[in-house]
Amino acid sequence: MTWGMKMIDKSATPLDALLAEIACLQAVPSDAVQEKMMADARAVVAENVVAMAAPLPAARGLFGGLSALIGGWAAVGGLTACIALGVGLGVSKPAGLTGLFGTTTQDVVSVSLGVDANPLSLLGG
Amino acid sequence: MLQSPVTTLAPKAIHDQNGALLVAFGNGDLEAARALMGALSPRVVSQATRMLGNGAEAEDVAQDAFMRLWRAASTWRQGEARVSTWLYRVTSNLCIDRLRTRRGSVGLDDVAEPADSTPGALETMQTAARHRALSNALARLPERQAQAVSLRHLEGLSNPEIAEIMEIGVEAVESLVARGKRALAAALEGRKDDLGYEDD
Repeated sequence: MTWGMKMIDKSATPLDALLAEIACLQAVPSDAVQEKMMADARAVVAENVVAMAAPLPAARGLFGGLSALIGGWAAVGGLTACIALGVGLGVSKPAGLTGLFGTTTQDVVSVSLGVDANPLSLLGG
Repeated sequence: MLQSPVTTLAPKAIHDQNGALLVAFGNGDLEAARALMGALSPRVVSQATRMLGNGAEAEDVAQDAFMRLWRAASTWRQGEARVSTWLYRVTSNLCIDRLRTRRGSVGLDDVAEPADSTPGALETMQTAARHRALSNALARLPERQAQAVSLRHLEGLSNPEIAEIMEIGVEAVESLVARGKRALAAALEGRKDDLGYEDD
């Protein structure tokens, strides 16, 4: 690092004059530090180029995209299991539920309310 | 022959130019980085040397400050801030960090002196001694006072500019500068004869 000097005004207080004397000195950074600064600049440019050139994620296809939307293949598996259970409950006639809600026939479930459910009888006719 | 540097651009134009250069570097233009470095690195190194009193450390700080500037280039928005103000702030903060780690360890004559080519051996030695003593006295001030005095009297910035860099009010800047100068005067009071400068 080197310094250059210029003329100063000596009419100020001693401290002001000294400050002005120092202020006139302009440091010139050494060649070494200037090279380091430019090397840093080149490194930053290279980093930015690498970041911009990073490949985009590979296309997943329709099912891959849907699974990602739901939460991955584990979530798809759980959802599938739940759907299968629900469908199974809907079409099958679980024996354990028979006594709870009444008798079951081939296609109809009749429920006993404990009263005469004939609407006409309720009207007194 | 001693002479002042010639500036052909108005200050605002210079600031706009620096901003444009930084944006250009953000787009990959290394020549813009070189131009910015040429324009601003002397001021950064000077500021750091005055605050730290050590040329080698000042160059380390300058390199660190410019590295931060390079990294900020890709997101720099021209017109929002001045590159020089931003660099002053970063350099000051880096210097303050270093001063805090070595507070009190700087002796009054521990600073590497700047080269001096003026004739007269005694005058040369006294000039170097004055500079060294002032640099060391600055390094021993509270960081904020040293920063304010350095920016005001050594970098030649206005109080509003310093307020923007230090993120304080203008009155606070004036107070810091006044207190800093009083402390410097007191530190140098006993060495007037040694340093070869006279009373009014």
